[in-house]
Amino acid sequence: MTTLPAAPVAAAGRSSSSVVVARATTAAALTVLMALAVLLLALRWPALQWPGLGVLLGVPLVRNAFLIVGLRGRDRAHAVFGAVLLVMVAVAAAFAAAR
Amino acid sequence: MPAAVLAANVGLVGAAHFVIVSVGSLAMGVLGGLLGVGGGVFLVPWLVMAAGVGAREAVGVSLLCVIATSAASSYVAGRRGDARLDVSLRLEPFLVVGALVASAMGVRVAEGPLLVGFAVFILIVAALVWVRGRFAGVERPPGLPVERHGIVNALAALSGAASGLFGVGGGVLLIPGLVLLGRMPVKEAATTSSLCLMSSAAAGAVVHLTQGGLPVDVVAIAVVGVLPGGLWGARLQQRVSARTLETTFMVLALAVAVLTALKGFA
Repeated sequence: MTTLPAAPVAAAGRSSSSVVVARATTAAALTVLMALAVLLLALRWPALQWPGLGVLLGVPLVRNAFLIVGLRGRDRAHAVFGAVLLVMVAVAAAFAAAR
Repeated sequence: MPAAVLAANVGLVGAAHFVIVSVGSLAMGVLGGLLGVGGGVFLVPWLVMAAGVGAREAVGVSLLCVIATSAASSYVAGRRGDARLDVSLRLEPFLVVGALVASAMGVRVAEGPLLVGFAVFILIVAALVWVRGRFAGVERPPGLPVERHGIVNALAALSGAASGLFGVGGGVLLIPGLVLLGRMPVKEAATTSSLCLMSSAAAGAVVHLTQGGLPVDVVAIAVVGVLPGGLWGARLQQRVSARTLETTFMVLALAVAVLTALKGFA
């Protein structure tokens, strides 16, 4: 019977969950930087205002997308629920504004 | 991009106000990071009183700044690996619903009562900071389950409501609550709080954006100031004694509360 080698993350002393969190938060931070760049460009070209704000508002969704891909079990279900809730908030607010 | 070009495209403010917003946001970010209360507690009064931004718009701007600062601080926490993802994910829906309800109410409240409410909120935050200082020694080992789930969830909804109504991060309520009611270690509570606050801020900001309107030019300048300011302030925090920070915060909180209340009554 052969024994599979331990996962690299476990060998490095970090649980797979903390690696997923690190990836997700890194993605969120990079999205913020991207949103900042677009918002600063929007000062010169106002047409970029909405894309800039959209990217900034989408930061939690980007983070949750990485969590959904990386996590398993109950934590994944919570991440899915959080993402669905945020999308519902955005859609409801957009409908309310359109009315 | 030259500053003159940026200033020329700032619709709400001119060159002088561009400097006021950018330098002020940086300073408020440093102050918020240094005192551990986030930038919003000082940014909203600054935008209203110094930069001439309306109270509701200032709340919206601050919420967008909270998304950026929360992402930055959770990046640091995520790399260190000391945040509780399970707790964060369970609290997030309560924070989001609280922020949604409060921001929907906030965009309909007149500016005067909103500012007076903000002044009262600052005083409550000051009291909580004082309490947090007294209970700093009560610690448990990290990783244990959070106690009193129901009360902690209700507190998360309240923190979300404070965030949506006043444009603050909500950590000023959530962290003492997690420590005192949930019996979490202070460090674990702070890092967990930074993970989940961006969702409530986003929910509140969406409402402000679609219902109340947001000055996007001010948002861009404020985020650029608050983000590095907050990180710098958090680093400076290590070099100042807790007692000095607490006293400084009490004095500043009292001054800001009085000025904000006067502005609200005016």
